Amino acid sequence: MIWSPVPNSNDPDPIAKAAAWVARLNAEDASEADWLALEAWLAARGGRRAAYHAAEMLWAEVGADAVVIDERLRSAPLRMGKLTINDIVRVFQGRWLWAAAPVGVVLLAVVIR
Amino acid sequence: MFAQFGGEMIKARKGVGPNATLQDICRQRRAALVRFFAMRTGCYDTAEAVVGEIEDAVDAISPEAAARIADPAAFLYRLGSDLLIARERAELESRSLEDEWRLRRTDAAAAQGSDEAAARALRAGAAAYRRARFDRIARGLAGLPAETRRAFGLRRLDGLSQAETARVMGQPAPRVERRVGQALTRLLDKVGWP
Repeated sequence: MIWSPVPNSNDPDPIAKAAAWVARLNAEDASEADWLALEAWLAARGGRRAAYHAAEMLWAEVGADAVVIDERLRSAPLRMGKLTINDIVRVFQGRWLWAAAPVGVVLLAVVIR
Repeated sequence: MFAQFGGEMIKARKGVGPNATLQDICRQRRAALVRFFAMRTGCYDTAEAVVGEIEDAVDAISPEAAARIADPAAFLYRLGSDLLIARERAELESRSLEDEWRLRRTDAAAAQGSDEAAARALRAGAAAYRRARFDRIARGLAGLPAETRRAFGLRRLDGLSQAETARVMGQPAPRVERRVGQALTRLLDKVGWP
């Protein structure tokens, strides 16, 4: 293991918890209560602050260098599960249906005339 | 994107009235923000500086854009965290370049006697370090379980929101969030930071 927090018997795995906090607080529905809960968690002694700092900085690093890391992954033997056309279709399927509805109405009107 | 969290926005604004502006909310939360960033960084002066940057950034946001923010209080914490990360990344880069420069200058000057050679060595060294770092992160990601890797890749490499990632994967958002946390844990374990 490369990164090691200060050991604390009451807090055996601050890295996993810090990573979970980063995932929670980067979600679009993160609330003020979540941030205040993080503050309470950080207040405990041990390696929590260092663990959270490392998790947040690594998260930022991957995001900032996403294009290059993605290129590296593409050249790696084991490919990432990347976004495919089918995935994009699934995301936007509902929206396309809504967008298509008025077009259909107009076409129908033209045909009826 | 923000509209769906309108309920949370109204709830967050309850304490300062329904017409409170983002600046009002920022003023009301100032002490709490300083306390949070002092806890986060272990330094009161840094916390004050970050909150000052938050206030400057908030002043630059148009009322129309501010009105679209679903949870203004949570937004202030996110904004401050992003500003802090940007500040720390810039400091780290500058510090490591200075260290590297001193090292390379000594080596190159001894070998070739010129600052030009030292600068070339510095650029080559920094680029090699970054390449090695990218490779380690890519290898760390490639070694993750498939679903965990996919959730993290969609979120962090493709830049999808958690809700979009959940939709693409056909999984509930909390499960996606758990997988993203697990991926980051494994990356910290395998790649570390910095």
